[in-house]
Amino acid sequence: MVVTQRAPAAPAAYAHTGQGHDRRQRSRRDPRRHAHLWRLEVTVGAVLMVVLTVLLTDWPPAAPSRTMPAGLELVHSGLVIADPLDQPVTNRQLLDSYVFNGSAAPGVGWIDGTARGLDVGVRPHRGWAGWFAVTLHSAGLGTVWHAVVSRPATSNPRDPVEAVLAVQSASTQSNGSIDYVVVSTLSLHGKSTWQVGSAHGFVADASTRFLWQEPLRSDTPAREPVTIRTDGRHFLAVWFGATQVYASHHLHMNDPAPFQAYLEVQARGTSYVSNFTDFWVASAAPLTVRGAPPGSRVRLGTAAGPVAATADGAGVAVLRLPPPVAVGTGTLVVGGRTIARRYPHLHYAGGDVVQITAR
Amino acid sequence: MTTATYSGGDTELGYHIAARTVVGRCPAPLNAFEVAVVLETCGYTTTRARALGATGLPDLAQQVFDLVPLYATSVAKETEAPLEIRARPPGLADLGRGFAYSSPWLVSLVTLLVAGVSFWSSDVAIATIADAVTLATAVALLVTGPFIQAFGRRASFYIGLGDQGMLVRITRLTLELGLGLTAAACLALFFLRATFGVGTPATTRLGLAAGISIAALQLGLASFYVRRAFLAIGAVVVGGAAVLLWIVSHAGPYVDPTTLIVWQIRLVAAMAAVCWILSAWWLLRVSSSAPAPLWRPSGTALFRAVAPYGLYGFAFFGIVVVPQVASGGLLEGRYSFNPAFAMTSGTALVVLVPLLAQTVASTERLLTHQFPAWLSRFTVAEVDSFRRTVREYWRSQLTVLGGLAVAAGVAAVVGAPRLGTRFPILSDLARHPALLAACVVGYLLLGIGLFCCQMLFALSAPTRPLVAALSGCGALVVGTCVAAGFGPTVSAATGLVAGAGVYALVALVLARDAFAHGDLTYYRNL
Repeated sequence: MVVTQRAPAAPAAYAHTGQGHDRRQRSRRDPRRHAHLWRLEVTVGAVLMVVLTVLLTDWPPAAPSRTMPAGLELVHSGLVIADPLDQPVTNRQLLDSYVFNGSAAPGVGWIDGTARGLDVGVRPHRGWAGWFAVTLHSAGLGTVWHAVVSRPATSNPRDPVEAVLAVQSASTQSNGSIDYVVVSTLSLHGKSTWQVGSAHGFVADASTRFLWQEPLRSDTPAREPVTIRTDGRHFLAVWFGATQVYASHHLHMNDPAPFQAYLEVQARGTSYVSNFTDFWVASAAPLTVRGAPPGSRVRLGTAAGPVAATADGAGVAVLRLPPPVAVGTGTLVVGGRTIARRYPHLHYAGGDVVQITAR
Repeated sequence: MTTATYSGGDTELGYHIAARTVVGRCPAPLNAFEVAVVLETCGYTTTRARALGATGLPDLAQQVFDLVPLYATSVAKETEAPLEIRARPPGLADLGRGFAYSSPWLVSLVTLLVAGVSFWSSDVAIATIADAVTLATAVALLVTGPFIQAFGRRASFYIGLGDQGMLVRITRLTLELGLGLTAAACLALFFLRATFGVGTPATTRLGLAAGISIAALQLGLASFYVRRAFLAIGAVVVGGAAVLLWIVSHAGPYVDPTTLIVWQIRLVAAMAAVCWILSAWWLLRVSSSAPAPLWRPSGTALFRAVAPYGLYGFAFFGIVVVPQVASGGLLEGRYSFNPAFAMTSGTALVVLVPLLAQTVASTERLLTHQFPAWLSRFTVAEVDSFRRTVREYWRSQLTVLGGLAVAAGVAAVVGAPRLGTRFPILSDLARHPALLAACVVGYLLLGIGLFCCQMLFALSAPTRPLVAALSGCGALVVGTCVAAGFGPTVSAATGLVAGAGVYALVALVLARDAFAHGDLTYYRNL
């Protein structure tokens, strides 16, 4: 009787294999330990891959980050979209934030990001055609939409042409319905006008109901800072600069939120270009300052004049910004009983919550 | 410990060790022939057999086979129970398993129809994003294809042998190398797009991320298929789909396309990471039963063994992917997402689901039931009867496949456009009936070719499928170029039909020939 081992036998019995050199003589790592290390490698690699994916898919923000003055901290940003459009940018860069499209044939519509603003144009074509840059990002109710809209001052078209800023329901993407509020400047035979309207349609050719318009004149301003606020249902207000030109709470629109902005040109036959600068979308909510001395006077200098409020017992001051200056740069002054603290060059926006960290 | 009587010296001990080794690999060998095969895989050569006192490997195998009952377990004996000789069609369970193979795709399809969004595609046509993601998908499929095929073939071998070390090595040489090469290919594409100013900065980066994460998911799922871990696949895929639907449902009426695609790609990467980790810690974990360090094949030998499978994978995915790229203007030296072709071909691709299920069911049945039964009953003298039986099985399965192809084709061409009223994503389908019909025909032919090739793989005849796939690729190139004058869409559809048609025809002829001349060397497939 002999005992035969069932456990693994030693390999030394095989001197050679008859197939050239004996590969089994090569040193081989302990498979169990090797496999364990490999599993750890795979786990680490998998986590790194996810991290790499997150980094690579980091999309450019719709609103640039803002640097707060020393002593202030931005707790919450109310700025939804901001694009000053004052630097030359390639269309490649623009297409990370906008989609270019329109009824104009391919090659007719064009867009150019220049130091003077965003030019949206059409080349000579047949019939009525348009081209636009629409924001990829959307914004919901309670927001203010702003852009400085310009048309060529020297243009004297024989056919109607338009530069358009529209705030349109983003549901177009899912159901094809085109519902928007529009501010445009129409030019014809050397005369121009500014108009405010509400439009409805499906897929194309929306019909516009004009709510307000100036008479056609030759001295109509070629450039207006346009600010729009709407709920898409009953309320619409439009400002040119600091002046409110239209407001109504009794409209019957069907523009469900959220909205996208369309920076657009329309023309019949002729080539034309519209220009846009200082484009932003911000919350219509007040600017909140926290950490002020209770009872202190908090004042923000805006382009439309100072906006002030008194801090409550918890040190919170609520600054109600007029929509046309819902975004801007100003000096925040927090006045205590004895001394006032100034925070210059504050890039603020409606809906911001700012914390005073150093008095 | 087991005791056994013996009347020799070291030679006899060598036989017992060999018998133990054989049982470790193959618990119930059918005959000495099979023992010889196992011994060969363990490094036993004629020289070594003679060193043990046998006249050669067959003699050693016979003597070892006589010792097998000493080491065979009760479980192994159960496997010796009589098996049916008659060819039986795959049952519902087999078909269900076949459908389970397509579960990631089916889940993806359902979410696309219901929510307009899938793992890396959605009902949002932002040209720059669509260009980047579809191009990345094409690169990922094309580069990973060879490695998935090679891994599938070789990993199951080492799992069967219980060799953890080789399993790790083959995973490194296939899946990890495949992921590395895909990343390199996507990086090259990234620099190409950046250099020529194609796409936007963010979408160029997105394309790189999409290529890597899609490839990682494809490769990560490979071991699930090898292990037939369908429940686990289902859990990963359904979990991913649930997260995706949650994101979409919480996005409100407007789904920001940038936010959506970013989360889609991140989700795919997370799913891929889960798959890789599960593979490493669970699916590719085997308890080594090797009595001694196994013969470790050289890299060249491994390459030779998997090259036909890898090349086949590359050529097959070429037939699938090239028409998509051609539809974007490949022959005009550009690429822009072609929504009409993508939507139509994506819909037509559904016809592959039943064909793939039938393919899986047929090959699984052949390998797990029919071959063991036939090979245990037929002798060499009965090779004619054996061939008749094999041919009968082949024909019956091909007939079922044909029936399924007709039914799926009619359902897709007639039914899919009508679904456009219910599912917005299909609303444009009715405008492209000819394109839909062409794509359906193309994918049906692809399914038939795939069936034939998988049956050939089951016979361990990888060269024939390779010939079929390469022929298909050639026809695809010719078809695409010939129809280039009619525009990218027609060119792509022509290429698809021509490529898939030639692939199916060559595979059919070669498979028919292989099944008509079968012999008992099919033991090697077991």
